[in-house]
Amino acid sequence: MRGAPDINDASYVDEADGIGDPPYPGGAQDIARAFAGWAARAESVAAGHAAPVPRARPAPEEPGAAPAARPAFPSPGSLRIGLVLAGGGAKGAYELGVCDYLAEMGLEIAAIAGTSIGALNGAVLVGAPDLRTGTRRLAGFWERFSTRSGVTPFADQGLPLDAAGAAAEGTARQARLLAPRLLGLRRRIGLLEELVDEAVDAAAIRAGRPLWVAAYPLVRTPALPVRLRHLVEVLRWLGGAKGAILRLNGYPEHQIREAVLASAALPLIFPSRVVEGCTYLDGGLGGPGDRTPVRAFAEQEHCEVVVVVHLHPDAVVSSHPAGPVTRIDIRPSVPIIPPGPLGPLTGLLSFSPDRVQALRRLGYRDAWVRFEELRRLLGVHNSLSQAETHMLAAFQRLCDTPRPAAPS
Amino acid sequence: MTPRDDALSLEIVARGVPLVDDRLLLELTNDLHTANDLTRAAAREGFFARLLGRATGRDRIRERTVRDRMLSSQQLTLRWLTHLSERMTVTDLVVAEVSEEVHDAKKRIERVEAAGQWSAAAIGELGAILGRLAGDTGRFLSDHERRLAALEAQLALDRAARRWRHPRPDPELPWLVGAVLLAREVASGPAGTYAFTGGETLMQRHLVERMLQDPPVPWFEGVKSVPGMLTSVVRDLPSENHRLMVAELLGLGVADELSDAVGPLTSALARATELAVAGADPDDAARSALRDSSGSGDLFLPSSLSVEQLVRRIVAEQFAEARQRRIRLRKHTESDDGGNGGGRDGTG
Repeated sequence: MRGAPDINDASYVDEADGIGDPPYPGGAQDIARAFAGWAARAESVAAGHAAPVPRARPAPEEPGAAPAARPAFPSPGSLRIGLVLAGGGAKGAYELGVCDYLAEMGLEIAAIAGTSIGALNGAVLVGAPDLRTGTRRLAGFWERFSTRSGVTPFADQGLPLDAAGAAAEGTARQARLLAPRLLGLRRRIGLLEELVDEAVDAAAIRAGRPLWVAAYPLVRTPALPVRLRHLVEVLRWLGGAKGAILRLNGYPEHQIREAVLASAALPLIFPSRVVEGCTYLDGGLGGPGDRTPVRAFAEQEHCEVVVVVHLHPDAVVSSHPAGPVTRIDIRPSVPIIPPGPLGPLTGLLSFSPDRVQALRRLGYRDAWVRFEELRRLLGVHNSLSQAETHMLAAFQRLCDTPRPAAPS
Repeated sequence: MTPRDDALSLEIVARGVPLVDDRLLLELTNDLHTANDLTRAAAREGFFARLLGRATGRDRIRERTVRDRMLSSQQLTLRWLTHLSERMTVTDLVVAEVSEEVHDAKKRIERVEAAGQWSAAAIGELGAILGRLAGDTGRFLSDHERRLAALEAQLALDRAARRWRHPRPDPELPWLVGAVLLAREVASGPAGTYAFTGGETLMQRHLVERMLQDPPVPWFEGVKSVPGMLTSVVRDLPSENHRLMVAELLGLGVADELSDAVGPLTSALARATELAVAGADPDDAARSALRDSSGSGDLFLPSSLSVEQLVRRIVAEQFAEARQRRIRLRKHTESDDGGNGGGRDGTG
């Protein structure tokens, strides 16, 4: 098998069908098979002796439920895999790379939860019939948005590359480009809405897989002047106000669009959105747990496995016990936030095509490394289990063979 | 193999080994990656980032998370080791059971080998006994065959002698011819076969005794001249046909390769009757026949013989001729067997 894909490999071309040749020749389905085998073997464990893998239960009825065309509940033998996409603005291209790898492996996602850019990525994926199609649409979305982000061609030429393969910007350059990036994004809200309308299939979301988004609710204070309302919101935020987790499948189609844009509504850049009478801003404004809403999402959707894609190398996970859910956390293996005091803002706002491509490649590579390790681990364990099965079967045959009578 | 009663029954253990090991491995891996990622991120932080982290409490949260993940990974490792121990228990039990089975099989093989060796020795002894029995039985059967052959020979001799004693009215053959034909018949039959296989002296003696003791007509007293006897035979034969018949019965006309050495008396008798058929005077025929047939050595024929000498000579000549005939036939048979497949050349 080839080694891990080189992050600077020029073969990572954003082709129509994906990111290029998979680093997994002939074995692209191994993880899926390993998971499927795991679920199948879980079926064979005698009840009462082994801790059974919990079976997914149907979601409870909710008011204003979506129309009757829901996908059939998966058979007890299959594994429900959830995908959680963190928020982080332009760093969301990293999630695209991870999805490239998951789609090539043939994994199918049962439910998606996302915050901010993660919600937007998730909405595009969920509206597609399968992950491969969804990833293609998402790649098209990122390509169009990044190429029309206002970055001039060859703007990063001559700059050294950081560990992520993107142009390393010094603090001075970041400061010089901060205002243009901010204003550029504000001016492109129409472009964003247009691309969301193109890429997000609200009807398919209503009838398809579950989609959860995190958004930050604003309180209604019509009695207060506007400036005081802003102050109240700042004080609330500083006080650790929590975000909200919205399940979009039951919303009307135009509200789904608003909810996706609400989760990605960066304060001071994008306008707030009203969903079901409540005003929301970017879900990343909530606490750390809101950026990656794992527990609530997994418990509600009864996923056995949750793949969580973080956009910060030190993204902290909830300390709550995971329960029956198994997590696979994927974090950037190298810093994707530019250095310096303005690094976080630059990472949030820089949608340059080169940077998007570099983050996409990094996401693909990190996913490959992570899952390749899992594949080896599960493969070895599976081999051990098979050997044990053979041993027990042979032993059973030995026990069943009648012993010949001893000669007198 | 009976199922064990203790709690470590293989089936119970096998069923009890949980298949959540895969989840355990995933969680363990995830915890290690989380701790590693957070630790590396902390190591990469710059001065201001560290300052900010301390101020906001993020550092503390991160450290606690790393600690929790390490603790969790150690707990999971312990669980994994426990599961592994349980599986190793199954494996060890199976190995122990298989070893027991191999040990039992080895004992059974040793017992079977011992039984087999004993059986081989017993079969060898049985074979030796059967061999001796077969040998004894063979000898016993050979003796009985020999006795039976002797009995058959004696019966044939008796039958021939009775017929000679009570001849049919016709053809009125002379007594000398009858005696020669009797001896020829006996020598050619079972008695001659028995004599050929070793009982010649006995058979000849028996025949001579019967012929001397119980002739159809009384023998002559004293001695008689041989020419005179031959002349009487030729003269006493009633017709030419009888003479020709006697000559042919005694070998006239048989090809040389099929005829055997004939005694002088038999040859003289045949010659005399042949000459008589050709028109010779009986005296002349007899004398001429004697002159042609007798000689020195085995062909010596005394001029006169007593009854006993005559009968003995007749029997001896016939038995000798029969023996020669049997030897010739045996050689002919053996040569045919040796050249089998090559085809006979049509002679004979």
